[in-house]
Amino acid sequence: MGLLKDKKLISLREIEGPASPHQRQLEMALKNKQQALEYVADVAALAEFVGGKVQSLGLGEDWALSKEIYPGVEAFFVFNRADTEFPSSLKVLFGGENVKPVRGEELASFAILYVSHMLRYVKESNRDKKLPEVCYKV
Amino acid sequence: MARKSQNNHYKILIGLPEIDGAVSYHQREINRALKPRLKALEYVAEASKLAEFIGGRLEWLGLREDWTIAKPIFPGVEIYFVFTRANGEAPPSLKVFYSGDRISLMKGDDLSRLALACINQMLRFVRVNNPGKHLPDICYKV
Repeated sequence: MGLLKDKKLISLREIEGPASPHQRQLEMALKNKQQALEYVADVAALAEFVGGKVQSLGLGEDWALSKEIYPGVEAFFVFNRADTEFPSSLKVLFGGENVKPVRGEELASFAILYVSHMLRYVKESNRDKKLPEVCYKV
Repeated sequence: MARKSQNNHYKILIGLPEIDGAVSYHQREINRALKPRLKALEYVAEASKLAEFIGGRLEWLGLREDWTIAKPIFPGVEIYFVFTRANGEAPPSLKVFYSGDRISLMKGDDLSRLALACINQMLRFVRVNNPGKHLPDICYKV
Protein backbone atom coordinates (compact mmCIF):
# COMPACT_ATOMS: atom_id res chain seq x y z
CA MET A 1 0.00 0.00 0.00
CA GLY A 2 1.40 3.42 -0.94
CA LEU A 3 1.19 6.53 1.22
CA LEU A 4 -0.36 9.37 -0.75
CA LYS A 5 0.55 12.27 1.49
CA ASP A 6 4.10 12.35 0.10
CA LYS A 7 2.89 12.75 -3.48
CA LYS A 8 1.93 15.99 -5.18
CA LEU A 9 -1.67 15.53 -6.19
CA ILE A 10 -3.64 18.06 -8.16
CA SER A 11 -7.19 18.53 -9.30
CA LEU A 12 -8.31 19.55 -12.77
CA ARG A 13 -8.50 23.13 -11.46
CA GLU A 14 -4.74 23.20 -11.05
CA ILE A 15 -4.37 21.97 -14.64
CA GLU A 16 -7.07 24.01 -16.37
CA GLY A 17 -7.48 27.00 -14.08
CA PRO A 18 -10.10 27.95 -11.49
CA ALA A 19 -13.02 27.90 -13.96
CA SER A 20 -12.16 24.39 -15.18
CA PRO A 21 -15.18 23.13 -17.16
CA HIS A 22 -13.99 19.55 -16.85
CA GLN A 23 -13.74 19.74 -13.06
CA ARG A 24 -17.45 20.61 -13.10
CA GLN A 25 -18.13 17.81 -15.61
CA LEU A 26 -16.27 15.37 -13.36
CA GLU A 27 -18.08 16.50 -10.21
CA MET A 28 -21.45 16.17 -11.92
CA ALA A 29 -20.63 12.67 -13.14
CA LEU A 30 -19.41 11.61 -9.71
CA LYS A 31 -22.44 13.00 -7.93
CA ASN A 32 -24.78 10.22 -8.98
CA LYS A 33 -22.15 7.49 -8.88
CA GLN A 34 -20.47 7.96 -5.51
CA GLN A 35 -23.37 6.63 -3.45
CA ALA A 36 -23.01 3.24 -5.15
CA LEU A 37 -19.46 2.97 -3.83
CA GLU A 38 -20.92 2.50 -0.35
CA TYR A 39 -21.41 -1.11 -1.50
CA VAL A 40 -17.67 -1.72 -1.83
CA ALA A 41 -16.86 -4.19 0.94
CA ASP A 42 -13.37 -5.24 -0.19
CA VAL A 43 -11.22 -2.38 -1.49
CA ALA A 44 -8.33 -4.68 -2.42
CA ALA A 45 -10.68 -6.65 -4.67
CA LEU A 46 -11.95 -3.40 -6.21
CA ALA A 47 -8.37 -2.26 -6.88
CA GLU A 48 -7.62 -5.60 -8.53
CA PHE A 49 -10.75 -5.37 -10.68
CA VAL A 50 -9.79 -1.93 -12.03
CA GLY A 51 -6.06 -2.70 -12.22
CA GLY A 52 -5.16 -0.14 -9.56
CA LYS A 53 -3.43 0.00 -6.17
CA VAL A 54 -4.87 0.56 -2.71
CA GLN A 55 -3.40 3.74 -1.25
CA SER A 56 -3.46 5.55 2.07
CA LEU A 57 -3.79 9.31 2.51
CA GLY A 58 -3.63 9.11 6.26
CA LEU A 59 -6.47 11.64 6.44
CA GLY A 60 -9.23 9.44 7.78
CA GLU A 61 -10.55 8.40 4.38
CA ASP A 62 -12.38 5.10 4.19
CA TRP A 63 -10.33 4.06 1.21
CA ALA A 64 -8.17 5.44 -1.55
CA LEU A 65 -6.84 3.86 -4.68
CA SER A 66 -4.68 4.90 -7.58
CA LYS A 67 -4.81 3.80 -11.19
CA GLU A 68 -2.21 4.51 -13.84
CA ILE A 69 -3.53 6.20 -16.99
CA TYR A 70 -0.16 6.35 -18.76
CA PRO A 71 3.36 6.02 -17.33
CA GLY A 72 3.81 9.14 -15.19
CA VAL A 73 0.08 9.95 -15.21
CA GLU A 74 -2.09 8.60 -12.39
CA ALA A 75 -5.62 9.13 -11.15
CA PHE A 76 -6.32 8.92 -7.40
CA PHE A 77 -9.74 8.14 -5.97
CA VAL A 78 -10.40 9.05 -2.35
CA PHE A 79 -13.63 7.82 -0.81
CA ASN A 80 -15.39 8.67 2.43
CA ARG A 81 -18.52 6.82 3.43
CA ALA A 82 -21.63 8.75 4.43
CA ASP A 83 -21.98 9.42 8.14
CA THR A 84 -24.56 11.21 10.24
CA GLU A 85 -23.22 14.61 9.17
CA PHE A 86 -22.06 14.18 5.58
CA PRO A 87 -23.13 12.22 2.52
CA SER A 88 -20.65 9.86 0.83
CA SER A 89 -17.86 11.65 -0.97
CA LEU A 90 -15.52 10.65 -3.79
CA LYS A 91 -12.69 12.99 -4.71
CA VAL A 92 -10.57 12.49 -7.81
CA LEU A 93 -7.05 13.87 -8.00
CA PHE A 94 -4.24 13.42 -10.47
CA GLY A 95 -0.52 12.99 -10.08
CA GLY A 96 2.68 11.98 -11.81
CA GLU A 97 5.53 13.76 -13.58
CA ASN A 98 3.81 13.61 -16.98
CA VAL A 99 0.34 14.74 -15.95
CA LYS A 100 0.56 18.35 -17.13
CA PRO A 101 0.65 17.75 -20.93
CA VAL A 102 -2.54 15.64 -20.80
CA ARG A 103 -5.68 17.63 -21.48
CA GLY A 104 -8.17 18.10 -18.67
CA GLU A 105 -10.92 16.76 -20.88
CA GLU A 106 -9.07 13.44 -21.28
CA LEU A 107 -8.22 13.17 -17.58
CA ALA A 108 -11.88 13.73 -16.74
CA SER A 109 -12.92 11.08 -19.28
CA PHE A 110 -10.51 8.53 -17.86
CA ALA A 111 -11.61 9.27 -14.30
CA ILE A 112 -15.31 8.94 -15.16
CA LEU A 113 -14.69 5.70 -17.05
CA TYR A 114 -12.68 4.29 -14.14
CA VAL A 115 -15.51 5.10 -11.74
CA SER A 116 -17.99 3.46 -14.14
CA HIS A 117 -15.81 0.36 -14.01
CA MET A 118 -15.89 0.51 -10.20
CA LEU A 119 -19.69 0.41 -10.44
CA ARG A 120 -19.40 -2.71 -12.63
CA TYR A 121 -17.41 -4.23 -9.77
CA VAL A 122 -20.15 -3.20 -7.32
CA LYS A 123 -22.74 -4.84 -9.58
CA GLU A 124 -20.69 -8.05 -9.95
CA SER A 125 -19.90 -8.34 -6.26
CA ASN A 126 -23.43 -7.58 -5.00
CA ARG A 127 -25.60 -9.74 -7.22
CA ASP A 128 -28.12 -10.43 -4.48
CA LYS A 129 -28.67 -6.79 -3.48
CA LYS A 130 -30.79 -4.02 -4.91
CA LEU A 131 -28.27 -1.40 -5.89
CA PRO A 132 -28.60 2.25 -6.92
CA GLU A 133 -30.00 2.52 -10.47
CA VAL A 134 -26.74 3.94 -11.80
CA CYS A 135 -25.05 0.55 -11.30
CA TYR A 136 -27.32 -0.96 -13.93
CA LYS A 137 -26.64 1.82 -16.44
CA VAL A 138 -22.85 1.45 -16.77
CA MET B 1 -11.06 -11.99 -35.69
CA ALA B 2 -8.76 -14.53 -33.99
CA ARG B 3 -5.03 -13.74 -34.24
CA LYS B 4 -1.98 -15.40 -32.80
CA SER B 5 -0.03 -12.83 -30.81
CA GLN B 6 3.67 -12.81 -29.88
CA ASN B 7 3.09 -14.90 -26.79
CA ASN B 8 1.65 -17.59 -29.03
CA HIS B 9 -1.90 -17.42 -27.73
CA TYR B 10 -4.89 -16.86 -29.94
CA LYS B 11 -6.69 -13.67 -29.11
CA ILE B 12 -10.16 -12.65 -30.15
CA LEU B 13 -10.11 -9.09 -31.40
CA ILE B 14 -13.35 -7.28 -32.02
CA GLY B 15 -14.37 -3.93 -33.40
CA LEU B 16 -17.04 -1.57 -32.09
CA PRO B 17 -19.69 -3.00 -34.48
CA GLU B 18 -19.42 -6.30 -32.56
CA ILE B 19 -20.09 -4.39 -29.32
CA ASP B 20 -22.52 -1.70 -30.49
CA GLY B 21 -24.18 -3.51 -33.37
CA ALA B 22 -23.62 -3.27 -37.11
CA VAL B 23 -24.60 0.40 -37.35
CA SER B 24 -22.17 1.52 -34.68
CA TYR B 25 -22.35 5.26 -34.15
CA HIS B 26 -19.12 5.12 -32.14
CA GLN B 27 -17.27 3.35 -34.94
CA ARG B 28 -18.17 6.22 -37.26
CA GLU B 29 -17.14 8.70 -34.59
CA ILE B 30 -13.75 7.04 -34.18
CA ASN B 31 -13.22 6.81 -37.95
CA ARG B 32 -13.87 10.54 -38.23
CA ALA B 33 -11.44 11.32 -35.43
CA LEU B 34 -8.72 9.04 -36.85
CA LYS B 35 -8.65 10.68 -40.24
CA PRO B 36 -6.69 13.84 -39.30
CA ARG B 37 -4.48 11.88 -36.86
CA LEU B 38 -3.22 9.20 -39.23
CA LYS B 39 -0.58 11.26 -40.99
CA ALA B 40 1.00 12.25 -37.67
CA LEU B 41 1.63 8.60 -36.80
CA GLU B 42 3.94 8.34 -39.83
CA TYR B 43 6.41 10.27 -37.65
CA VAL B 44 6.72 7.41 -35.15
CA ALA B 45 10.27 6.15 -35.65
CA GLU B 46 10.39 3.68 -32.74
CA ALA B 47 7.18 1.87 -32.02
CA SER B 48 8.63 0.25 -28.88
CA LYS B 49 9.22 3.70 -27.38
CA LEU B 50 5.70 4.74 -28.33
CA ALA B 51 4.36 1.61 -26.62
CA GLU B 52 6.32 2.46 -23.49
CA PHE B 53 5.08 6.08 -23.58
CA ILE B 54 1.43 5.08 -23.57
CA GLY B 55 1.91 2.19 -21.12
CA GLY B 56 1.32 -0.51 -23.70
CA ARG B 57 3.33 -3.27 -25.36
CA LEU B 58 4.32 -4.12 -28.89
CA GLU B 59 2.47 -6.99 -30.50
CA TRP B 60 2.56 -8.56 -33.90
CA LEU B 61 -0.68 -9.72 -35.44
CA GLY B 62 0.60 -10.83 -38.84
CA LEU B 63 -1.66 -8.41 -40.70
CA ARG B 64 1.27 -6.90 -42.63
CA GLU B 65 1.09 -4.01 -40.20
CA ASP B 66 4.08 -1.77 -39.46
CA TRP B 67 3.31 -1.93 -35.77
CA THR B 68 0.67 -3.07 -33.34
CA ILE B 69 0.44 -1.79 -29.78
CA ALA B 70 -1.78 -3.34 -27.13
CA LYS B 71 -2.78 -0.99 -24.32
CA PRO B 72 -4.29 -2.62 -21.22
CA ILE B 73 -7.13 -0.50 -19.84
CA PHE B 74 -8.40 -2.77 -17.06
CA PRO B 75 -7.61 -6.41 -16.30
CA GLY B 76 -9.41 -8.26 -19.10
CA VAL B 77 -9.88 -5.15 -21.26
CA GLU B 78 -7.31 -4.18 -23.89
CA ILE B 79 -7.23 -1.89 -26.90
CA TYR B 80 -5.17 -2.84 -29.97
CA PHE B 81 -3.84 -0.18 -32.32
CA VAL B 82 -2.73 -1.57 -35.66
CA PHE B 83 -0.83 0.86 -37.89
CA THR B 84 0.26 0.51 -41.50
CA ARG B 85 2.29 3.23 -43.16
CA ALA B 86 1.31 4.77 -46.45
CA ASN B 87 2.84 3.16 -49.49
CA GLY B 88 2.58 3.81 -53.20
CA GLU B 89 -0.84 2.21 -53.34
CA ALA B 90 -2.60 2.94 -50.06
CA PRO B 91 -2.74 5.81 -47.55
CA PRO B 92 -1.72 5.20 -43.90
CA SER B 93 -4.15 3.15 -41.89
CA LEU B 94 -4.85 2.76 -38.18
CA LYS B 95 -7.27 0.08 -37.10
CA VAL B 96 -8.53 -0.13 -33.54
CA PHE B 97 -9.65 -3.43 -32.01
CA TYR B 98 -10.70 -4.51 -28.54
CA SER B 99 -9.94 -7.69 -26.67
CA GLY B 100 -10.08 -9.42 -23.30
CA ASP B 101 -12.40 -11.61 -21.27
CA ARG B 102 -14.18 -8.61 -19.71
CA ILE B 103 -14.62 -6.64 -22.92
CA SER B 104 -18.32 -7.47 -23.01
CA LEU B 105 -18.80 -5.46 -19.79
CA MET B 106 -17.76 -2.30 -21.59
CA LYS B 107 -19.89 0.14 -23.54
CA GLY B 108 -18.99 1.22 -27.06
CA ASP B 109 -18.82 4.90 -26.20
CA ASP B 110 -16.46 4.21 -23.26
CA LEU B 111 -14.14 2.23 -25.52
CA SER B 112 -14.16 4.77 -28.32
CA ARG B 113 -13.38 7.61 -25.87
CA LEU B 114 -10.52 5.63 -24.35
CA ALA B 115 -9.12 4.74 -27.78
CA LEU B 116 -9.18 8.37 -28.88
CA ALA B 117 -7.51 9.52 -25.68
CA CYS B 118 -4.72 6.96 -26.24
CA ILE B 119 -4.26 8.14 -29.83
CA ASN B 120 -3.98 11.73 -28.57
CA GLN B 121 -1.26 10.54 -26.19
CA MET B 122 0.49 8.99 -29.22
CA LEU B 123 0.44 12.39 -30.91
CA ARG B 124 2.03 13.91 -27.78
CA PHE B 125 4.77 11.30 -28.20
CA VAL B 126 5.23 12.38 -31.82
CA ARG B 127 5.47 16.03 -30.73
CA VAL B 128 7.97 15.33 -27.93
CA ASN B 129 10.16 13.15 -30.15
CA ASN B 130 10.26 15.32 -33.23
CA PRO B 131 11.48 18.73 -32.05
CA GLY B 132 12.28 21.09 -34.87
CA LYS B 133 10.18 19.21 -37.42
CA HIS B 134 7.09 20.66 -38.97
CA LEU B 135 4.43 18.19 -37.85
CA PRO B 136 0.76 17.95 -38.85
CA ASP B 137 -1.26 20.65 -37.05
CA ILE B 138 -3.17 18.10 -35.00
CA CYS B 139 0.02 17.33 -33.02
CA TYR B 140 -0.06 20.85 -31.56
CA LYS B 141 -3.74 20.66 -30.66
CA VAL B 142 -3.64 17.67 -28.33
